[in-house]
Amino acid sequence: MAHLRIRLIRITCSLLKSTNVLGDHAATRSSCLQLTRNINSSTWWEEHLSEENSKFLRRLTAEEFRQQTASKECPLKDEPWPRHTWQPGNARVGLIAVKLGMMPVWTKTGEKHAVTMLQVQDCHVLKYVAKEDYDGKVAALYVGGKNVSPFHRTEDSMEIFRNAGVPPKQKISIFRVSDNAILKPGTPLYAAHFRPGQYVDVTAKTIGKGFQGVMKRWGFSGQPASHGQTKTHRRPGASGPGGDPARVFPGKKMPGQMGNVYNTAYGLKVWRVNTKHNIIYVNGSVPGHRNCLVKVTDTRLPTRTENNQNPPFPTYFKDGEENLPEDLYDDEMFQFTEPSITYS
Amino acid sequence: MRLSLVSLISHGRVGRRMGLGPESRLNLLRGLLTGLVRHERIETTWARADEVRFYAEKIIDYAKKGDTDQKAMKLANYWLTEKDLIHKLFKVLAPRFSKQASHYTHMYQIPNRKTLDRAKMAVLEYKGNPFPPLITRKCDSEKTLLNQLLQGYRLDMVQKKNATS
Amino acid sequence: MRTESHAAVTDMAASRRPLVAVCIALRSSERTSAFLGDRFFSTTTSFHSPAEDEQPRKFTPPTKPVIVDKTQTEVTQRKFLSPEFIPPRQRTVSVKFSIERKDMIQRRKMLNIPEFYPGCILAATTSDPNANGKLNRFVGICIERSGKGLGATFTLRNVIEGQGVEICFELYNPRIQRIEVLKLEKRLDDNLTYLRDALPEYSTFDVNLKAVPSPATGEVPMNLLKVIMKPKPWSKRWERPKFKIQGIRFDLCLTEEQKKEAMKWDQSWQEFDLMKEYDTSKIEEEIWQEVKQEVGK
Repeated sequence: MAHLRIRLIRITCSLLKSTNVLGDHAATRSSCLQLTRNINSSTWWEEHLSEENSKFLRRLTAEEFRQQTASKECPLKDEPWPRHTWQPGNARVGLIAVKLGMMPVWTKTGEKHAVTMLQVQDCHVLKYVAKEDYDGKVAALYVGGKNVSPFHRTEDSMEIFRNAGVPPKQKISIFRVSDNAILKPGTPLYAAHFRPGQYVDVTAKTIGKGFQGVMKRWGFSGQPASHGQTKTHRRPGASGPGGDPARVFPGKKMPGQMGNVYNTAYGLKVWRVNTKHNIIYVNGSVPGHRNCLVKVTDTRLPTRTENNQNPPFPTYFKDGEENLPEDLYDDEMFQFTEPSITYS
Repeated sequence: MRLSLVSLISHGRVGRRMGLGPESRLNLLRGLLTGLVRHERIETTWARADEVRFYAEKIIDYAKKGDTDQKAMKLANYWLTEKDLIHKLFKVLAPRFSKQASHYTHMYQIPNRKTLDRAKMAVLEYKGNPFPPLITRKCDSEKTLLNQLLQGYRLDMVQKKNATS
Repeated sequence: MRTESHAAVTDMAASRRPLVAVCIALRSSERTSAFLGDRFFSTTTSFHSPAEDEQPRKFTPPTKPVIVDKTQTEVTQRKFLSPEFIPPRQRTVSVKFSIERKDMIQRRKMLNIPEFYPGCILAATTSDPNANGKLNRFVGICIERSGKGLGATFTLRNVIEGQGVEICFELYNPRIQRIEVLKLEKRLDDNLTYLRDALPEYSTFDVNLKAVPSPATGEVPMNLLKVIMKPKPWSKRWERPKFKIQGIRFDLCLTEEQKKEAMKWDQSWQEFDLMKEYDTSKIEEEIWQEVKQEVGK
């Protein structure tokens, strides 16, 4: 609670400072801070701000975020970074998306596939780290997704957003990109970064299952329910050979924490991209629960890379010359505007 | 802690586990709700108050449909174990909240129980009850320096906007 | 012992191919003969009249016969929203459902999905690469509608050559060519899966069943049929109160003791748990307006 209050006061002070209303009354400012610090309650808005003022501040912050987002719509206009053409083997930046849920799609031959809908919400490039500063091999781009209230971020973690000039984000990911694929901090990323027909990898935290036994965690069979079993129904049984190694080999499947770890689904086909709502339809299931934030990148699988030729490079720019329809479909996918499938 | 009913609806769970099972839970909450309708302000553990609060609001929603509504009457008959309170629900509480669409109750946390388990306690009350208010109105902070400066800034902005437009 | 074994076919029932082909041939011959008979009857009256009168009259062409296709049911005037439009009660962003709904509406513009309920007798025509003539028509009683959004399904059941067959069709599958409602009615229950344990006569329907015209307005006709079950064991304990089954003659198959035993699982207090209520009336109204507007375009 305390840091939230300090943040609020800081916002207020910076506002006042910018208009020179406060002048050199720095002493009063510090007294405000001290006053707020030692009260620990959740009614901090009402305690010091009148109702109109608190509303005003909320509105002002929201407006500021909107302006920031709008001003980043066209990063090409103010000194854009040079853009290169795609070469085989180049690594592009990825996206951070929200998992919406699953639905079916059908191909033109009448086969059914399950797809996961991933929505790209307020995805921005936050920071560029040059090759020398990162690991000496590749450059890195920090990307953030899904706006949050600044009151949910600490003051220290706000710095990266302020430097990029974007609203604070719920999740930040690092993408290792090749030198010609770097992007200026503040560039917005859209779902059209990926195109139907290409393959992606999706990384997310799996649904947490807690501490689980071997039957649920590893699919062991357990023991019979009856026939003289004593306190042995769901136990792992033997854990390895006896006297010769005289130890349990590392990596033995045992009870433990299940889920809530990062997992990647490799080589998922993109069936469809909605450019209006920024939704990517990715084949199959994706780790994580609904509404969780996932990291989407071009696939690493060498056998799939031939499908990823000539993507929008380094990313898709909304004000570029490309004029995209609302929905991009894969060639094989059945669109609902077509008549029913008939075989001849 | 439940933030909202929507956030709890996951894996089909909608309520806390209380008492000896789902039936016992409802019986427990029925007793609390009957007490709330009779006295309009009750003191209980925080979790129970939070749980019964949902039902206390929902029963008013149904009571607003009038005592001719069959389902409302059936629900009132179930939830109020003392039958003289059915009249109070339809004739006193429902008209009282007729202008309000939701939020018929207040819930306040009070110091933990001193005896036994030191449980987190709360007070639950219907709005507009005859008792003196629990929380006195907070002092007016309109005249503090922070508020005055902010107000000046706000008015400045409005003036600037008017001048430009 | 169970006298009948069930084959729940999930996709296409390829084994019934020859039978269906025969049925289609029968139907077409019937229709043509009836049509010819009609024509002869209308023309004979005009032939007779000039023979009685001496003066030749000016030729008046016979009135054009009004052909009413009674096999086609009228477009419903009732306010009916298909149940798969209502989103389930869960924490999901609403944009997911609105996007899915757009696709569903788009499909409904191409394919007429009629109003139907569990208990209606339907005929679903699907394209099937393995079928003779590449088309497959299945007639049966709709025992279940399930699924939300684009993945919605309905299950048709029929007994064919003494073998119970159930096919689960996907409502928005592009392979579906046509869905006809042969008989529009409601039964006492919303889920008729207990027909698996009922006598086969209750789920036997003629594959050449003619469509019964249904009223386009007013209430959907109710069929108050109660079925007689085969002896126990059943696939589920249908007498338990949680199923709330109305359409079974329990008095014929259960003793008083068994009924009393079943009532031990009675949880009638569940209906008073207001937290479990999901009031969809508001969402339903909004979605119905949207669907009506879009489909009408």
